Amino acid sequence: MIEIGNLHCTFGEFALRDISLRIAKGDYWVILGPSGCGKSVLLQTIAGFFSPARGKILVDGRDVTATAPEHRKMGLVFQQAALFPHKSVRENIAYGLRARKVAREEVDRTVDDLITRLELKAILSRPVATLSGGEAQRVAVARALAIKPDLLLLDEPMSALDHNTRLELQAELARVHKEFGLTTLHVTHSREEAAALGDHVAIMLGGRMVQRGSSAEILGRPRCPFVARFLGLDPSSIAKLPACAHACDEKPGQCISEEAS
Amino acid sequence: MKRSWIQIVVVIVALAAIHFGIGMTPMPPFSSGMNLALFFTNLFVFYTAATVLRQRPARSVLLFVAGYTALFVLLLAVMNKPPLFILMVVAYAGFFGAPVLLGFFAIFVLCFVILQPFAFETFVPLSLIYTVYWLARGKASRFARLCLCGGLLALTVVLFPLIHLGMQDSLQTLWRTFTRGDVASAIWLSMLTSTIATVALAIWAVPLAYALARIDFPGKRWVESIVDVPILVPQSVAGVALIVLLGPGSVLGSALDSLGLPISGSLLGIVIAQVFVAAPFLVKTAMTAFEAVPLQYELASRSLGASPAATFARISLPLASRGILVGATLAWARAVSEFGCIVLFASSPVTAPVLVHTEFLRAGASESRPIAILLLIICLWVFVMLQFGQSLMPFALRGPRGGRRP
Repeated sequence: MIEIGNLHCTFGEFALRDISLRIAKGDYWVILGPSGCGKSVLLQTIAGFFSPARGKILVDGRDVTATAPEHRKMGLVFQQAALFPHKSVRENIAYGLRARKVAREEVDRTVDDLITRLELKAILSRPVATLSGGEAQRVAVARALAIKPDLLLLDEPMSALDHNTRLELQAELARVHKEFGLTTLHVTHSREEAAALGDHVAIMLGGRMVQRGSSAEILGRPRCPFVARFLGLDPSSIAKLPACAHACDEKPGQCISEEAS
Repeated sequence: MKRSWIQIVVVIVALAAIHFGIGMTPMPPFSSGMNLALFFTNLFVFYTAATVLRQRPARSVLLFVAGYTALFVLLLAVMNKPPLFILMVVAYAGFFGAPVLLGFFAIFVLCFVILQPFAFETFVPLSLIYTVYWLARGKASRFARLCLCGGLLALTVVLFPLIHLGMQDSLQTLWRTFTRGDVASAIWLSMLTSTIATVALAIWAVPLAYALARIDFPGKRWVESIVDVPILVPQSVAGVALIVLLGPGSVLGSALDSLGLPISGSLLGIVIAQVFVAAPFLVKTAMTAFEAVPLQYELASRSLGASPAATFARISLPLASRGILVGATLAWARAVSEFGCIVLFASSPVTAPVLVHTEFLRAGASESRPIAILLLIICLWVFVMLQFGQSLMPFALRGPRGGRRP
């Protein structure tokens, strides 16, 4: 269980405001929002790279708000796999365990297990620099899984991939989530990804979380014209939504967060 | 078909008439034998011109004639060397079909005929530049190639004193100089102190470079500029500054003396001076190298459980190692070459650049020349080896993707 409560975090001009989220064990949450809405920053704040001005992050009731990234157990996967180019595929997967000074036999056992379950055997001997985007991303997921994270953080893991590879990785992620039962927070700007993967969806606009709930509810029933346009609903159904009192094209997210509070 | 036969006959007759006319003048410039040889040479030239140039545009015929005229003016009219002229013209006509060879031929003539005193040291770089130009064909635009080769040409001119110097003494002279006790010890001393200075520098400069690459703080640009100060300060000023602080009679100097670490007569002074002048090269290069390591690698490493120090040791440092080695090489080279600061501040024991200077003052250029050449060769060799070593280091080649797009 991951609880994020009233998180505030400022970065110069930009700020995350009042982010709250409760992720039950084994849930797959997708945070959906346009570029610049603060979703990646939120992910890095949860991973521990920014300290929030206010608010709390709890992992199974334990407050980790002030814990250094290396002492949280968050598996982070970036848009660009960020595999260490000077290490082999195997060394990349084993990196987290080696850093945590796990005994060699156990490292080997865990890595072998991951290699089998993620079907990485074929690319094991390839230099990291020659892996395709999809292959690299699968290794990055394996690397994050190796530390048995409390929460898997996926930062636009498919945005740099072509359409077919994206579909493959999507299926792979769904399978991995089911098999490992891992609590996952996935950030994306793609409605398709959210619909395909998320049990739960939250929508972020302008540093605020404007709607959250089950994916059917959120993706099917946007509460504001701005969100509806972002989700790509057809104009006739957008016209049926109640007009927004707060001109949220200019201040995205204003209307709903005020309404919700 | 018939017309071209007529043309050939006309040209042969005309050539024969010209040579006959030259031979009939009251004071013929050539003996009749030489005249005959020249006639046949010109016949051969005409033959190649006719066969090779038949399919080529009129422009290349003009070029051919221009080249021929140049050789004629240069070798016959100015230098009056008919046998050389025959040799060159035959080679010229033979090479004209293959533009690559023609280029090398032109360079050969230029270097060995016109630039005769510097024949070898001009021929080697010019041929290399020309080769580069040819190899880059199809890979770069003509403009880019001209920029490249023009720049290389200018660089050759700039470095020409060194190239010329390297050609001056025989290997025997160099070896005799090298086996002279004071020369060998000065060169070894330079190598040793520069290596110590580079290592001592790396211990603090690499962490500093990492910090400068990763942390943003107010006044960071000022710190970066201050790092460059040793480049800006004249070496003599640096020498005086070091003497004032650490020299004989100064507070720190006497303190170090009483601690058994005397500045004068020991390696310490030399190393201090070398660290001072070499520091910016390592700091700046290493900083650029760390900046090139994508931040995501470090974030990934830390979220996987590696502490900041472990991340530095396992990720950032290896990936920046190539750039750091470049910087260390530059710093080492700068330390070896340091003269002005050391001659004032730590003139004994004698390092190689100081020895070149004192030998020059004592016995002139001819005596200091072999030492200078030795120093040049050894420094260049070490420099090349260090540059080669960089290619063995890992490198964050593809940015944070870690893979190419399929």
